[in-house]
Amino acid sequence: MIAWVLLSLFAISSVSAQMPAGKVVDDMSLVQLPDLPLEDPPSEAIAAERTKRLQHALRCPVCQGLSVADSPADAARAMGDRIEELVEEGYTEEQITEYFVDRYGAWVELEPPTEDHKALFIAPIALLLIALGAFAVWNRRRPTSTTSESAIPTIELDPDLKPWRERILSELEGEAS
Amino acid sequence: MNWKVLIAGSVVTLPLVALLAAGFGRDPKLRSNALEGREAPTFALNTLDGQPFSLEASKGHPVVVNFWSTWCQPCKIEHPILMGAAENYGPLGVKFVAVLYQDEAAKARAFLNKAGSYWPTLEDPGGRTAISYGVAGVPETFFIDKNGVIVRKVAGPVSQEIMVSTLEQML
Repeated sequence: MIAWVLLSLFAISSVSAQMPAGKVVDDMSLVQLPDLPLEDPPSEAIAAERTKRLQHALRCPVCQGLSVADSPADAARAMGDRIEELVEEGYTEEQITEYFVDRYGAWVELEPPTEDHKALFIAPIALLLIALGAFAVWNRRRPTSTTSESAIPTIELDPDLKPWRERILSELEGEAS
Repeated sequence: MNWKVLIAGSVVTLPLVALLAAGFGRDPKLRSNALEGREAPTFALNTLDGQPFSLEASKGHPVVVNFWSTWCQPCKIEHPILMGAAENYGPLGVKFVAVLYQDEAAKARAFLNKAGSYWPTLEDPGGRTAISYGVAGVPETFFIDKNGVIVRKVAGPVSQEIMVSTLEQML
């Protein structure tokens, strides 16, 4: 059951990852470079900080698991320079990230946004809740035989043995006193 | 045989096997064709001879944009297919254009002088056009229809079959 739930969540996640919000054929505004920067050109220090942050957040297109900042490849350098230009022109980090995601897909982000992969984040919690629920149901259905009294089986006493039993008990009481 | 154990085991293991099969069945190096079905980013660049070229000027014609470099062996393998396609489909109105990727113009000129070319090759300073097309390696070829929409992106060398079928579809 848990495995089926996991598989379903994986399938949902895959579909949602392939169909990011807003990626529609007729939305051309996302394809082209954003027309206008949303901010004024930032100061040199802020621009350097934003550039560095973006270069660490975006993936080198020709490398395996390396950010633009960490890669020595020419393609990464070109991408880093482009990031720097866009930052200096006043484009926000979101605009620049969107620009690269539009061209390379969500893959270009080293840490893809959680909204595209919600199922993967929900899955562990959902599985834990399912497991706890299953345990609770199992525990309720289990015979209640945990107390010490009920654990002792009741024995039907043989009426013929009653005198013997009373005698043993009285002898035991006598020894105790 | 304990059928209950067998069924319970199957219920647990089969989905996990399917999950692994789905994961291993996908090429982790495969990039998404994010621009397919969308308007081609415009560009205006200079050819290796210094002549201006604008994609905008080719609007109304199917266009094949090929990103390549001389250090890329698959690009050289692909070259004769592009030559054949340009020779056959150029007269039908299909425009071919190549963009040099992370390479030197002199090396490209030397290669093209030997191998021949029926199309302009453009220099891409800073790789901006390659970035705007999401190029993540060469060769990559973009098929742009008469309306300026990218109908297909091919990463790696284009085969004869794909070239012909895509061009026939665009005409």
